[in-house]
Amino acid sequence: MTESFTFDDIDIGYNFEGPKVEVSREMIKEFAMASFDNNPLHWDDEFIAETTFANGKKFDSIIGHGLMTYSYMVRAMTDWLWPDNGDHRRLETRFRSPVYPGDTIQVRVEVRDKKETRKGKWLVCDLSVANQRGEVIATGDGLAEIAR
Amino acid sequence: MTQTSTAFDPEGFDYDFWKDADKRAGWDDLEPGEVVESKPVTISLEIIQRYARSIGDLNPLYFDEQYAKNSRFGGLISPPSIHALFLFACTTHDHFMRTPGTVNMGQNWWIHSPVRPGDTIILTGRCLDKVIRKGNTFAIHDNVFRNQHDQVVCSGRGWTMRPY
Repeated sequence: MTESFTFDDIDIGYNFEGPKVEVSREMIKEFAMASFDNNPLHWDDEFIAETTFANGKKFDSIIGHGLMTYSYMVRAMTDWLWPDNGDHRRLETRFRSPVYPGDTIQVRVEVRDKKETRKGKWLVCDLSVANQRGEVIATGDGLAEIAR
Repeated sequence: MTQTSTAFDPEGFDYDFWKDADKRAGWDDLEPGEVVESKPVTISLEIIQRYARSIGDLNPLYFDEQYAKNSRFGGLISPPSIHALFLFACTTHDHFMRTPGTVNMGQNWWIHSPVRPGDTIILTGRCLDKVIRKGNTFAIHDNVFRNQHDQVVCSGRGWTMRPY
């Protein structure tokens, strides 16, 4: 949890690092069970070996769920905003590259814009998730509603 | 609401996505705009906490009843990304999101209000559009989740690449 802040305390360009996660097969399995998404892309090595996309590309191994990555991005926002600074309202993501077991991924958040509307105070945020090779595997457009 | 809600039982969930896979709609069969079959489910604290643990998020708002009660939320809530499981809990086994090989390309979700233990979640979901890009087939789907008070808890849209 972060210190209390107000809308005026945060400048455009403010940034911080969110969760850093070393992804394992066991974690992917646990997420599959807890989210009820047991697609064989997340556990079946034979299925992965047989699966080729239209561009000829294949996955190297089973992959982590896109929504697992999404959940770490959301957690970066809630760890920053909760309990009293505000609320995570929106996140739009693109999953750009697969997450494989053994990867270590790190979420980063940067405030891109600020806006006051008739009823709210908003921080527009760029989110990114990079793996241990520095490759950006997901990007996001986040929106935080600030309490004060 | 004409459907009867049930407490969602994780033990009763069919994790075998190969079962009846050939009966699920392929890209050709998806009808943009048609609302898909769904079922209201009641979400327990156990399901919320199991999900939170799976993402390594041990925020006391999900686990510490007294802390949550004293917070502005007034009680335990769930992680905002809980909708990840609603996509499966609220749909039937023949829903196209279960088709083996479905690849999630991106999502956007607006979080209206927190989901709480005991909430009954009702999904209105559909394939909204479908496209072909670089030889691959994609579905664009939108989902609106309401609670038992008919309040929208979250709404959003996603892209999936279809295996067939």
